[in-house]
This record gives sequence, C-alpha cells and structure tokens, in this order.
Amino acid sequence: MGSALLAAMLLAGSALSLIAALGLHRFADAYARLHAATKSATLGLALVLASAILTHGTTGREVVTLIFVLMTTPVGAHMISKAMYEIGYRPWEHYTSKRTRADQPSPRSRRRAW
Amino acid sequence: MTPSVVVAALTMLVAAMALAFIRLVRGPHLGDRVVAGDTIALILINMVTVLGIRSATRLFADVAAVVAILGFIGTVAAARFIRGRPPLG
Repeated sequence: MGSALLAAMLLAGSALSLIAALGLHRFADAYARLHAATKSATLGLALVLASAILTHGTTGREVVTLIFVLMTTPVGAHMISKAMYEIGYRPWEHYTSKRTRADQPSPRSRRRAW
Repeated sequence: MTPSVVVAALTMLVAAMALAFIRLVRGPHLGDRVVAGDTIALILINMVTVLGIRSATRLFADVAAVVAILGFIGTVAAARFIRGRPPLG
C-alpha cells in the first residue's frame, strides 16, 4: 500500500514534468510558455521530492531544496515576464482581447528580438 | 521502489528534457530560451532525485540543492540581462 502510493507519487511527478515540457513546446508566446512550464514543473518536483523523503527518510536537504524551489520559481518567472514586457514583447494577438490591446501602455523602449 | 517504476519515471523525464531542449534551440526570442533553461533546471533536479531514490545514497540530495540554486541564479541573471540595465542600478 505505502509502496504503491510512493510509486504513484513518483510517476505523477514525472508526468507533470512531461506536461510542463509539452506546454513549453506547444504554446504560442513566451508568457504562455512561462505559465505552462513553471507551475506544473514545480508541482511535479514537489511530488517527486516528497516521494524521495518518504522512501528513504531525509537529512533535511530535500526539505530545504523543496522550500527553495517553491519560493524561487515564481520569483524567476515574474522577473522574466516583467523584463520581457518592459522591452516591448507583446503577447500573441489571439491570446488578448481588443480592449486589452488598446489599454496597454507603450513600452519603455523597443528592441530587436534576438 | 521497483526498478520498472524508476525506469518509467526516467523515460518521461528524458522525453520532457528533449522537448525543453527543442524549445531552447528553436525559441524565437531570448525570453523563450531563458524559460526553457529554467525548465531544464527543474527537470534536472527531478532526474537527480529519481536517481537518488534508485541508488539509496545521500549524495544526490546535495546535487539537487546545488542545481536548484544555480538555476535560480541563472534565471535572475538572464532576466536582468533582458532588461538591459546594469545590476543593482
């Protein structure tokens, strides 16, 4: 029973990472890719780390890694999306409504996309 | 943990990392590549943890912690680079 639960957590975590990479591969602009990649990959990592802790016990490092990843992944995603908004990267037009497009302020500076 | 479960989990993680690498190579904008690198770091932590479950040693937990820290630092540095400002300015 316990072993089956741990195996299910491990497989669910790996499947969530695969779903994250699939969204990263399929979505149409960088904001949508960020949305797909960060959240589900973080939840998948949390499931796998919990499975590791419950299987072999912990010396505290897995818990520290889990808390660190849960704290820093949203911060990194926010920093990337804010930086891309400030250099003038626009979302794909089918992801936004006309009113949203009209309300957007002009970017601070426009640069060529790499 | 039976070996077949570990092999299935590692297969899914390798497929996920291949998809993330495709986005890293193809991404039209620099931000796409940064997002792909962030995802690759998360998947790498995942793979290291699964290998730690398989081999029952304590060393893989340290490796996972170091990869987490380096991934976050790389993401923050790339975001500052995208903004085009000097750091702490």
